[in-house]
Amino acid sequence: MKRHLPLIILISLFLIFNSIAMVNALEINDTEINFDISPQELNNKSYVPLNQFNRLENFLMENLQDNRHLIIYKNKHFIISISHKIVKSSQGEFTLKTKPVSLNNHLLVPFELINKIFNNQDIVQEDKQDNKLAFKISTNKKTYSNSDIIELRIKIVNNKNQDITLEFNSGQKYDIYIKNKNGKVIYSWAKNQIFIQTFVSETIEANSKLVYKENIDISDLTKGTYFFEVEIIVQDYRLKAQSIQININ
Amino acid sequence: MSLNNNIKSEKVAVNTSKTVQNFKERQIIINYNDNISNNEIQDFEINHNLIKIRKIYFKNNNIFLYKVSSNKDILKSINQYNEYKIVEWSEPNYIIKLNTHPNDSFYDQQWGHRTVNLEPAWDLYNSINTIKVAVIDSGIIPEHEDLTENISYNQGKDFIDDDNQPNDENADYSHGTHVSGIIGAVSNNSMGVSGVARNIAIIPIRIFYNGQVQTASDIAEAINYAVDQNVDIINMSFGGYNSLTMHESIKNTNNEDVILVASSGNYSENEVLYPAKFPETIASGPDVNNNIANYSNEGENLDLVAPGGSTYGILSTSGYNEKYIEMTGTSMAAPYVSGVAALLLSNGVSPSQIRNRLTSTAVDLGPTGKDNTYGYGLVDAYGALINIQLKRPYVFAAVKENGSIKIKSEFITINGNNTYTLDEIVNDEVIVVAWRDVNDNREVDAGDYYGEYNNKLNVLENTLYDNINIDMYYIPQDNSTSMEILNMITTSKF
Repeated sequence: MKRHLPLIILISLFLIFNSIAMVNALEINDTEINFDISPQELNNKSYVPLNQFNRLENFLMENLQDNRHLIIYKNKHFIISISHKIVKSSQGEFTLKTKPVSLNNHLLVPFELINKIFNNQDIVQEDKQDNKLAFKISTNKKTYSNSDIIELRIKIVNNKNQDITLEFNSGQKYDIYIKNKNGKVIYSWAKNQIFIQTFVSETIEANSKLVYKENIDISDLTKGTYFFEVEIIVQDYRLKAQSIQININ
Repeated sequence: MSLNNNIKSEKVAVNTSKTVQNFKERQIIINYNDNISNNEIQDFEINHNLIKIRKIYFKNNNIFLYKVSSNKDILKSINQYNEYKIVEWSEPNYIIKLNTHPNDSFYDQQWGHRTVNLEPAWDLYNSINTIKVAVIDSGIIPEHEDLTENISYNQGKDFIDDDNQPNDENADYSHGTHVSGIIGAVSNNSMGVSGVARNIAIIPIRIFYNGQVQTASDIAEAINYAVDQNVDIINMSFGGYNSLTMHESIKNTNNEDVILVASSGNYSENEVLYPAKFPETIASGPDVNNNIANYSNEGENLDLVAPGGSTYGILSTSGYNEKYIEMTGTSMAAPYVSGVAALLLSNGVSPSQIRNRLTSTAVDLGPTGKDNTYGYGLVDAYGALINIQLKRPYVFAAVKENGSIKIKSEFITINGNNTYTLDEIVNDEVIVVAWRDVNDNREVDAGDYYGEYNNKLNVLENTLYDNINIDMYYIPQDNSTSMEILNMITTSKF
């Protein structure tokens, strides 16, 4: 039984890697990284192909001797070894819970390592599910001081192979609420806005996205934990409101 | 059976006619030669019993408007004056009439213009003043072929870019250009669309970017700026929440006799948005064929409804490549109201009378009187201009005899939804007549609407005739005719 185990694991990995059922994506500093992977949501043990990150600015990958690989991102570097959990980096040595592996000349690393390489606050996960509009929000940071301006990105992704047209009742596309940790709404963005009163439509081309950006002044908020909730005000589609936690120190 | 009201103005075949003078009674204009002194002019005025109304504004010419005595024949007097050496020329004070059916390419698609009875209003319209309308919006496409002539671009302001060039960043789908076109696209220029108002100067003020404005203070400043430009009307095709700053600027306009018109909102809610909700503002909701559009915000602060579009939008000017597009919303209803207000002001109605004139002459829709869904009702340009709330048309079966119409049935008023059921038809070969006696003089004459279903019906007893639709036509003033109605019984059916 013991003799067959590595083979079973490799077969499983192969199936995972070749599964086309779901297409997941990450967004790092406004650049979208797409890769084929089956889990609907990435966790630290999920394998992702590292070469897909080559398109990022300031990212470099070099093969070293003895199945080792050098990864440089901005001012940080990491040395990983195939089938070894220990990673040497400019920030010190650490141990992964899952080993990097090589498969069909693809270097697969656990998502845990991705979180280490990139500032995990810069990473936005997208669940691309067939036949649905994906709606995500993100902020430029998770922790702020109340003199900061929060940069909020609202993204609607069309996963269909055909264009989708969103119809809005007015110039208002969404509302942004700030809730305290008890869920009480303490701020509504739209309450301070005036909109043109014409029906407006926005077309999202097939497999494309629509991104809105808003800067929110939080100078009136005291220290603590808050939740930013965004609701898209659109006809014909039901998009569940999205929420993100921020902290003010 | 139904009645199609206000389809279009058209000459009605009638049997009598009379000469209509196309100039103001007892008024003439005289242009004196350049080298004539004021004393010589005064002597001429005294000798010919001319009462000076005013000097017509020209930089270098001595042109005066006079009133003459009632017993003088204007045309004969003019021939006489033209013989004098001090007179270069004289002429009657001609009334400039607009074509009631403009020649603009897409005019027939502008269904909203007929809904608010514009053609008869244009027929009566006699421009006195140029009206300045501030359009506080997303800016303008200043070179638009069908609008540029009526834009006072140099008076405009851009509060987004903080300069004096209020160009819309949306080059093809410009909301501000669309709204401006409803109010004041150039009419009768054989292209595009026709604006509601005439003799108009649109002042574009840009405060919107991407359909939204950041702060109410931007709006307040835009309103204050418009007032500084001495505008007559401010159109605000937008809405949102209350703001004391915005209200303060709106309250200040009352001292300046500025008419404020705003959109009720597109969210199907039970109260109208601000600034429409402020009492100083005329709140305008969307009408579609005498019904409220299902997206309209309603409430006790709603004043009027006007065309806003639904399945069919409102066609107007838009951008560079997409020159003319349809848009839908209460954003479109507001400029209809602003445009009609401009027609009234230009025709001499005072600013303080405008609100009452619009509301008291509106077509009452829904429950009788003011209600939360339609306000006072559908704005009626024609009714507002003649200061009459138009009655619903009459319908009856009749025969024509010697230039008269003899009623041969009951005489009824059509239902609120423009349908009718006619009974008691007493002749076996009749036409069906629809008639709106606008001046209530019991004659079919200029200013009325008239239509016939003139395929003679051979009416059989106990037989139901269905789907007899009648198109009514407006009878223009310059084709003034009359037709007597015989056997007309005025009862409580009116």
